[in-house]
Amino acid sequence: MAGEDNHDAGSDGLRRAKRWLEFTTRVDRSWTHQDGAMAELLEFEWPYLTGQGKPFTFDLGGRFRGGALHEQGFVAEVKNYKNESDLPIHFRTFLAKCYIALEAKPKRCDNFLWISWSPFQAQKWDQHATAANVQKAILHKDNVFRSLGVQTSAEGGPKLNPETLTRVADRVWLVTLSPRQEQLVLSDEHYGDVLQLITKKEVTW
Amino acid sequence: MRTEFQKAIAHAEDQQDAGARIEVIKTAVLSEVRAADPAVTVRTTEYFNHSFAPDMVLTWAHEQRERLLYVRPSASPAWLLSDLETVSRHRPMVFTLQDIAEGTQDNANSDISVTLLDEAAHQSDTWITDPSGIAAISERRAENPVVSLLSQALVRGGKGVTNSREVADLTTRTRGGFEAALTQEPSQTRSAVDAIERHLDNVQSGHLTRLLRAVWEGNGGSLSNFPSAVDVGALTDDDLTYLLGATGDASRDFWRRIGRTVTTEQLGRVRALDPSPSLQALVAANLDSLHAKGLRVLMEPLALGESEQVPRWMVSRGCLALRGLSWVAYLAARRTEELPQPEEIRAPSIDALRRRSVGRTVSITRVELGRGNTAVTYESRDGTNVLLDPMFVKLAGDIPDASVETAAATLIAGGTVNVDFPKKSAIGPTSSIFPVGQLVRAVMPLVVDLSGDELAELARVLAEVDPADTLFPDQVFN
Repeated sequence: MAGEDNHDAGSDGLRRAKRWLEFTTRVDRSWTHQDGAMAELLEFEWPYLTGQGKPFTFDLGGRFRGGALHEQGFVAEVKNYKNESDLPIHFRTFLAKCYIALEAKPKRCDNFLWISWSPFQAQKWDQHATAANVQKAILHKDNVFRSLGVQTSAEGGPKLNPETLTRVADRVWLVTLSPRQEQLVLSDEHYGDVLQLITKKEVTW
Repeated sequence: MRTEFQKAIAHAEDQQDAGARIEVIKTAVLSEVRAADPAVTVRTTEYFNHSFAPDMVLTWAHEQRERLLYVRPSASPAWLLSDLETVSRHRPMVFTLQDIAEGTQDNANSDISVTLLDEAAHQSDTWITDPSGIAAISERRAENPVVSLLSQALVRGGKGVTNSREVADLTTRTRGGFEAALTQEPSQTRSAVDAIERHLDNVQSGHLTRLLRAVWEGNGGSLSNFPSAVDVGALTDDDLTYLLGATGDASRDFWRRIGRTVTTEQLGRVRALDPSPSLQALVAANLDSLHAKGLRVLMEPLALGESEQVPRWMVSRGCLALRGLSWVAYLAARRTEELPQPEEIRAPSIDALRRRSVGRTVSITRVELGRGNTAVTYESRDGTNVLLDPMFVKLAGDIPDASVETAAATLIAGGTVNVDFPKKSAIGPTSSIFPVGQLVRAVMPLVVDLSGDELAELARVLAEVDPADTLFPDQVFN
């Protein structure tokens, strides 16, 4: 399969990613870009395309619970790919989106999750989520104008915020799922116990 | 979709913080659910749109169960169908924030339609509804007590996909069925049974079908002709409890029809909140058809925080009871043993009994006077009121310190109860039973000193529709 060859594959991947995250028991709220009243929380704008095109959107957003991540938010890009295909291109765009999103609405961007079913450019896997790679992504010809309003990487370099580059790199998660791994979640037996804990606790606003 | 809900969602979308947005959404959903079932208690979780953790947990007083509610921002049939794999094991309610479009498909390549989703939801007793669906039912609740029951039954045990069109069809058929049951018209009654069974799980469809059958039977219909293939059994205590808890504003006719199949014994077993407007309405409409073996009064002042609405019907100590300001009259449906233990109190004097019986619709045909270890019985052989007998008046004058231990009181409509004054009890002999209205009306003024106001209030509570059945008339038996 070359990428998400149809809408169903993308939608299926999104459902599976959401479900897997929630079955870790470490996500208590999530929503997708198809979720009406919540979808807008995943929308951002390329600063220099404002009014000229669609805002960009992440696929999934939500909130972690428990441990060091407690109440931290996340946004995620989900790619239901079985092999590398054009994942590097999508990942480059993803990094650029993360930079723009963090600059625009930092409260929504505690974590950036890249979720796919295939790794890509594995030889450089450890360099994917680095400040240098984020910088390269923004300065790439596909992104430099819509991100920084200039035509070349030479012009764009000085406009970048080094702190934001580092913060983006620190917040990116590379999650590579496999169908079998998706089964390694709560057993039915423990699911019942966890659900009982959840439903007993009352939340008042 | 209710305007309030539309406004709430618009308000939610103004919230830039995800947590604040979710809070507004969940509050709005909660209002919709309560509008459909005001008796529901809702516990909110910290979860939202989660694959397996519900947004809310719905519970009901006197029901040892809960229903999980999942909020879904999207009404995509494909997503909802996928969710069912996990959540349907709980037979939950799923509330979509968007309306479920008729016959929609996710896209050209998808064959997942509302029809498939509906079938899957039916099979798993999952109720999927949307803002327009729940608005359609909650907005019609006030029109009719049957629709009110249906609305609550859907929240408690609805199944399938129910949008506004489905709701309109279901309410029309259910209302039509209850009206048709009055005249034992089988076709529309059958249509209602089918619709009820199609949209409600076994528990809730059982409730409504038994109520429908109670109306059918209560209006002279033969049980064997009731058009249901399923044997749902007689109106159960749970049905009655459910009915009393769920129906707040039904007409006297409605309660009278239902009351034809209800017994005093059964009322003693229901779990009715106190005060219960429905119980007042049910008893008031059936004072002539509910029967009791006898009653016993205990002097019980109002408890701290107890309703001061008196006299009122209540269920207490396993009995139907009438609550006064400082007393409670417990009714025994069939056996004296149903009554609480008596309080032994001092019996009234002859003068006190005479005062109590003035103007009452009862004739005292026998009295037992006691003094110390001795007693004397005076009895009329022709049913006349001995309190008006000159010989008895003279006898009583000779033993002024005697008290009235027991008496036989003949009710205006016939039948005699034995009144035990120290025990403030009145019991029918052998297998005698009496209409509750007549019994309470005759006995209460005899065993308790009631003020004029209390008597007037008692008359109001015991008023029956039939004008010939006048309460506390001026004429006295003699």
